[in-house]
Amino acid sequence: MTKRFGPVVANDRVDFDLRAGEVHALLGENGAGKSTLMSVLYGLYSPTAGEIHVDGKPVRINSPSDAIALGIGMVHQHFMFIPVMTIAENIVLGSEPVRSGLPLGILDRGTARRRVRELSDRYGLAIDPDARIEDVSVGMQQRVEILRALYRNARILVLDEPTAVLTAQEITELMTVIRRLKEDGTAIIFISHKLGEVLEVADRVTVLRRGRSMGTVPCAGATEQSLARMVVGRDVIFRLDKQAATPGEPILEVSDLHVMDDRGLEAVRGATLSVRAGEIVALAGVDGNGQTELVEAITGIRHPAAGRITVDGTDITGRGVRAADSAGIAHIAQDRRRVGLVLPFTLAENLGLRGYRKPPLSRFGWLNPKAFTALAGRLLSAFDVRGGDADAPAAALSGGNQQKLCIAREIDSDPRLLVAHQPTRGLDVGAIEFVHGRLIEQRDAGKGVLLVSLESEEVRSLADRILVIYEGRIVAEFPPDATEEQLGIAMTGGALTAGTVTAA
Amino acid sequence: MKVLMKLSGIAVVIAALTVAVFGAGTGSAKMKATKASSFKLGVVTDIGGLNDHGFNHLAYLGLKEAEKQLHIQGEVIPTSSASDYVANLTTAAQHGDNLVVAVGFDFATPLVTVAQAFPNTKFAIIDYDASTILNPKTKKPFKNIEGLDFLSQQSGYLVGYLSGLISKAKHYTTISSVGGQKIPSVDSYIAGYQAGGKAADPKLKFLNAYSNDFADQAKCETIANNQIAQGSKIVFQVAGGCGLGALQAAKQKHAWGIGVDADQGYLGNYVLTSALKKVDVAVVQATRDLMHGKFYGGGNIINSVKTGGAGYGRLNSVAKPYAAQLQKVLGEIKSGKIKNIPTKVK
Amino acid sequence: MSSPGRLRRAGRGALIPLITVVLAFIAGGLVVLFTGHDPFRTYGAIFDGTGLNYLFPWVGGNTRTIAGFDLQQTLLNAAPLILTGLSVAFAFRVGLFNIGSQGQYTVGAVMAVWIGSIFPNMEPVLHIVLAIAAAAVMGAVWAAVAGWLRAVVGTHEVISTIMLNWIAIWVANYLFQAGGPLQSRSQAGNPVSNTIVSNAHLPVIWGNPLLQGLDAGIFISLAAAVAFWALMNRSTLGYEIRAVGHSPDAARAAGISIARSYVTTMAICGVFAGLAAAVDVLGWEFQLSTGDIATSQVGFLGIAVALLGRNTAIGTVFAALLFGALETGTSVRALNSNVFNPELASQLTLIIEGLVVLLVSTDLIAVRLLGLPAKLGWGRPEQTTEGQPPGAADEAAPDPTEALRPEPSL
Repeated sequence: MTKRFGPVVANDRVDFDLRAGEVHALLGENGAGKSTLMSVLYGLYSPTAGEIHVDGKPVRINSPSDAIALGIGMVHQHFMFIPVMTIAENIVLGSEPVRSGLPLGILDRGTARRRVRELSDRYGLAIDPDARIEDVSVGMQQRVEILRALYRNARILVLDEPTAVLTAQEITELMTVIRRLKEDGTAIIFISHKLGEVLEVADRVTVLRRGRSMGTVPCAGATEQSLARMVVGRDVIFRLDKQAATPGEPILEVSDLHVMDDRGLEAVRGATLSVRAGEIVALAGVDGNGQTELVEAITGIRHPAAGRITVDGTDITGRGVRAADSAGIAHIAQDRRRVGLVLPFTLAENLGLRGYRKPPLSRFGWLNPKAFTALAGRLLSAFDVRGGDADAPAAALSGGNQQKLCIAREIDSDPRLLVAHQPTRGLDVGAIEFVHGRLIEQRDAGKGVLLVSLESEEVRSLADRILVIYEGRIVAEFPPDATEEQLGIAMTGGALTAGTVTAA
Repeated sequence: MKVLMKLSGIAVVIAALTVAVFGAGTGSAKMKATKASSFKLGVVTDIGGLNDHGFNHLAYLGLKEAEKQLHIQGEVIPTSSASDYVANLTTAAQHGDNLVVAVGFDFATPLVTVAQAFPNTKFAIIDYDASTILNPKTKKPFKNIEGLDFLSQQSGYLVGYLSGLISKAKHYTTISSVGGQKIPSVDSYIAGYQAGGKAADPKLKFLNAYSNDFADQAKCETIANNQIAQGSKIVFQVAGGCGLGALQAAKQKHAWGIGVDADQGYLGNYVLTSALKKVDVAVVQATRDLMHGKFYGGGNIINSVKTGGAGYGRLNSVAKPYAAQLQKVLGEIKSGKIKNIPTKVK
Repeated sequence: MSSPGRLRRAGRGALIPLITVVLAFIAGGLVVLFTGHDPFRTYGAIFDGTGLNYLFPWVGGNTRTIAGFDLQQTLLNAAPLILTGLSVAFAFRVGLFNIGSQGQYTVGAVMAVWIGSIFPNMEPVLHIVLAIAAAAVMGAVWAAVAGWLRAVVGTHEVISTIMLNWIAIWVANYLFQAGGPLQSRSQAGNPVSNTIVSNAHLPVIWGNPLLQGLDAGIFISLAAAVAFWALMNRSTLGYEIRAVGHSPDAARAAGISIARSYVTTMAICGVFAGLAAAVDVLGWEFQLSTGDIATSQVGFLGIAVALLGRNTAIGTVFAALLFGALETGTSVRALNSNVFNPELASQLTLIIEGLVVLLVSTDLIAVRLLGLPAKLGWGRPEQTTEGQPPGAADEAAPDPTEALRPEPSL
């Protein structure tokens, strides 16, 4: 049996076909039209022209329920759950097994739980059907999303950037699941930015650029380099060319810092580090080891419980964001959509978030709209932000351009120290290249850069020094040529017990 | 509403019969009616609205009554917010109403300006002493405002006396009252109630509290429940719509209730009787007087037991045996034998 | 700056409320039809009742006099509604739900009537300014309490403002009740305040001063709307408030104190509500009774006004005018009783107002039901955003109303 889509014409005459038991990857820059294409497939938008065929028959998909009826399941990037319900309840929601007999319409919890467990055993999707969604990890939530689609008999599964939210361990597990689904005859559309993953799991790749299909190629024989060229339309430099660092005097000094997290637990437990002028210090670590709290303390967002933070000798411990700002700290937030930007604000308004209190943007508490427009005009072109003019809302930009907007604002504040927290998360290769270039540029201009990243690849290629954070402490320091294994051991706390750390 | 119709029973029937007989018999009655109908009566309610089971409703009944009896044209203008006071009075005057009845003390200040602007329109204000509404220019009472005052203490005295008699017979030690607000028109009822109760049973104890609300039944119910818990066997409500909650409490806790303003005996046998303020009678009377050229500008028409403007309502099965004694007291109030009933609650 | 784009966005913003109002009127018309009346004649009568027929030059004679009077009342009703609407809208913009504008109005009214009545011979302008300022400051203090509780203790402002509403009503009750400290000297026993002196009356600009002609308060309301706009869109404070309203996390990261924004915002809301009270008390009310205080709805109506006005200054002004006109047009006094029962008329106001609130809060649903999005470019703008849940990005002002729907009787 062969399932066949096609020709789908969405965006600009995109053809796409998917075979049973195949993993078909969809690659493209942010804003290339991948999500739109999938939304058309899932019935969220209707195509302006062209048609969709399932099993060779033309179909109309006007709503997600049509899609589900056709056996199309979607795992969104942002999960959609009812947090207070159990996993089993969330999975069966919408097609609940109902008890026979009176009173009518009572949910049959036993059957629900049993069927959920059957499915999870079959595909190796480990979950606890009775746990509440709000209590489980992101990785498990994703497995629940997949199960929900399978529960509704999905034969075509769309995974929209499934690895973006996962840890390395969880990614490995996901790959196993995908392979098992594939063996079972399920067709999978795999959307990702990460070329390595695509090559690892996919059978064929379709690349979209600016709404057009750049062609479909089999993965066998493709390389990261060849795929990147298709995505960006030119050669991409993977190895960064950078001069050796010439670090100067220390700018940031953090000593014995203790910070509590939102639940009042100690997330940073006596971290000590320093960043010198003209160097990139990378903070590597597995997510959730206190990076967020450390960054928030340095940038003044979070009040530390104890310890000391100085910038050029000025104590800014617990003095708040404005003190950190005036001491020269700029902050590229890890969550640009929630923290870095005010999405409904215009681009100009977003660019003004650092400087609005001072002339020329404002005088005596009154804003100067012309100055905002001028600022936007200057920065949007200098940082090549595309997708909207100064008056457009930031929400209308693609992820890469939103990040450019954040970086433009922060760098324009002419900081002493740039704190970049996962600055390339969710970005395509072209945007990543841009961000990395800017960070090195800042370093070369004599600024200090503190890079917090979960990607060891990024850490090793950018950093002049690598610090490893584990359970709220800086446990090791490496030169940039440290191996993946060395870092991996330190990041998982192995170094402490094994005592093999070689602090440089 | 039906019961209230019955209340003013005989008058209605007579009026209706008169109209029917004359209307059917001769053409001249119709002529008469048309001639009289050039007289226009306006009633402007307060924020309580038409369905308050009290005051405003009674005024509206009076208007309907006057339409029937006196063949006048009536209009009623309900008030829904404070900004309606002046506007509604103005509209009634602009419509050319010969008499505009304003229900309640809230109209005292608005009348000051409206009465100046419409010196030829006659205004009547219910439950307010018109001699205290002064024209700011002359510093004297308005010639075109009269007060329709009620000696509610007489009605209160009567129901209090009945309560005293029953308490004595049944060995009740305590009775109570729930006021809507500490204002003169409420307190005169309560003061009379206590005086009447004392007169019949000198040892009787009285509880009294205010809900500060004329609408929310729950508040009065709570207060009445407290009073019943403290031993009260009879609850007199003087709180309009809120007070219906007090009667509800009496019903549930097997105590007796006493209604106010309108006859609330229709609620059930647990209502001993009601202390009446016959606003409807007063409205008809004021209209009739003005049609005959009588208007007490700057003064008040006192509605009392004597004029039929105060009294008590239907007696329930427990109260019936005391009907004769009550009639006697009513006669004594009328004749002036019982006088100086207090109007202030200590 | 591309002003055509701006205009288009503004036009789009005005479209939903317009559709909403039309739908509410159609639904109200069905109700009218249901009661056995002619909806077209009824709406015609309501229109005449609002006094808007005054604007037709061919209307003359006595009809014109009455229309003029009705129009004065419409504007008189709209003036405080603009201000309470602004009071609610301002809070919405920072992400707070100010249910307390009724209470802020109440304490403002108490101050206005107190200041307005205690100085018998003060210079009129000075007296008016002093009374207005007192009402505004008192409203601000009252509202700031809720903002402070939210900022520091975390008490949800919906709870605290409802409580503060009650406290305000009971304080006023205490002050004006028989024997209360501010109870009228001339009306012994009745729970009313003193009447403010004529020096503190706002001048009447149209109509008979004796008959509640239109006073200058409407100018205060319109000036406040302009101030709202300027403050929100042209001041650093408004910029901060909008940032906090859209995204507290981003605002915090930009060094904006959320706590201070909450307190300041609420205080400004209180100023608007206090001004509403001053406009009423000094403009036409001159006196407060405890009954008036307990039955006043002007603060609660402000919630509906702000919702319909989409929390913008200009929207609020138009919404308040609509509500003011509805109040007047459906009042028994103004509505032709041959066309519609007086007993039903005031219910019709409530029905239409209720429908407006209901439809505004569900406006997107209403619009989607009509199948408009494709034609109007509704919902998401151009699809350039990757991986964003549908409908996440639009709307000029935040709409924190999804979670809570006020009960006007609170």
